[in-house]
Amino acid sequence: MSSKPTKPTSHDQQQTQMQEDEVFINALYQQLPPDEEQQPSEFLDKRIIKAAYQAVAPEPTKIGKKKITWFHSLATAASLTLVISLVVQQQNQILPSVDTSTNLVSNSQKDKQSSDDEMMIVEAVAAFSAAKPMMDNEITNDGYATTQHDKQMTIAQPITATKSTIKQQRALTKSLTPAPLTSIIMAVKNQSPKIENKSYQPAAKIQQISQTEFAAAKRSSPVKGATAQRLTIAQYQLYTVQNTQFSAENKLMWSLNNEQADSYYITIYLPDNNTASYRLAKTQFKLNVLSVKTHDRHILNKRIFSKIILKNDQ
Amino acid sequence: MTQTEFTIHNTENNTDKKLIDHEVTDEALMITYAKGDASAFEQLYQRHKRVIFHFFIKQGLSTAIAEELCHDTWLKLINARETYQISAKFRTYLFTIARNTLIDHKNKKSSQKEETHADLSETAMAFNKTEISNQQRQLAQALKANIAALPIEQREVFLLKQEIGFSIEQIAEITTQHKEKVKSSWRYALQRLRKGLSDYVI
Repeated sequence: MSSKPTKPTSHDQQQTQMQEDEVFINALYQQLPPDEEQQPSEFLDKRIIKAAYQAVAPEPTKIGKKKITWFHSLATAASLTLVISLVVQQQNQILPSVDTSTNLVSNSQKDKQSSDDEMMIVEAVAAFSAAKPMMDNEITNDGYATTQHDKQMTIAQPITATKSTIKQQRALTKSLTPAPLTSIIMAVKNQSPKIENKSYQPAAKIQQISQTEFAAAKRSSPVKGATAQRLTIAQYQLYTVQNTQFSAENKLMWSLNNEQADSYYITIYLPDNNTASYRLAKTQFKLNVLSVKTHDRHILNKRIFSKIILKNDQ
Repeated sequence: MTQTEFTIHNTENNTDKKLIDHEVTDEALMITYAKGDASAFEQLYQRHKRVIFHFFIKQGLSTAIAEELCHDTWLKLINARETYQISAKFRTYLFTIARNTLIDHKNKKSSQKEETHADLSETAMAFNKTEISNQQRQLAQALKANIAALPIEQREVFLLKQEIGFSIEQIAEITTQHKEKVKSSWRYALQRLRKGLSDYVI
């Protein structure tokens, strides 16, 4: 038995052809010169090795970053606290000049204003308690009288003020003539522009003059009992000049005690914790008046002195 | 211990060290590097840097571009160290990254012919430096030109098998192609090269 040779298929032919080609290419490669000189540069080697080490290197800077972050947070918090405390302290010292009676004030601002009012009341109580008694009694329009001899100024006692008494007081006020204070104004103007906080001699001088004039008027008047003296234009100008020379902490303040058809009754707070009560004729002065609250008739909202406007700029 | 005994002992230690270094597989080194030992990466790099560089050079690229692609390939390996699994053979894994880097480069660059011409001139200059026969120089240049003239699929299969030494199955894994298609590309590449280089048989 003899086996017949099988006919080669196309697949076998392809395999044979491929093997022959492989042998041919391998023979060519054996004839090639060695190319060992071709390899990556040392610079590339260093770059790659460096990147490999950096990839697995620990990160020691994290702790430092945490410390820096903590330090910055603390510094920011401390700075904010300091700024807020300074602002609050400054607000306590300088009273707001915004008219709270306007309807445009929001609820939050009203709440803030009410808290400020409370603070002003406390300050005013301190000012009143430290002030010297100027007048015996101060009659208000609604029949309440505040006696400055009383240590406790918050207690008000109603009195029966007759109409005749009020008329007599008005007559007394009208009898007061403005003193010639031009020389005093010139003296104040010639003074050094810097006035120390504790030096309030001009203010004391004005008060002394007022008291002298008031005492003289009181002696000459048959009416007993105190009333507010009339603020003359000369006094107003003197106060204005003084007010420009005072520091921000010692600016003159005033509060409205009462308002009548022809005049305002105000109290001026002097820097040395003294007060002076004046009656301002509506024909001469104009006020930006705060609303008078019923629960604090005696200690009203303080305003800055520049809110007293002289009509016709006489 | 005499000087002779010390020398013998020292030589034995060096031999053992070399043996140990050689015994550590690429996969183990890669796992060691992934755990944070950068010296393991150095060993891997020294083992494979040349073959990766030649893979790019044989693609018809200039030396500068080949080095840049080498850099990108190794950086990708560094960044992928934590996702490497020991089930994959390191050499196959490395060349998969290299091939993807090459494809990205090809997609970016359209001036492939210019690069090839530049590389051929570089090759000629390199061969001029070495003392080789004129016939060998011509053969090397002709082989490089014929390889560069192959279609991309045939060229990469030919280089991976003939130059790097991968099997058909490994090339199919690297190129994510079917085994028969890889085999077909290999066969056609051989036919083209034989036809183009038939005059150079000694």
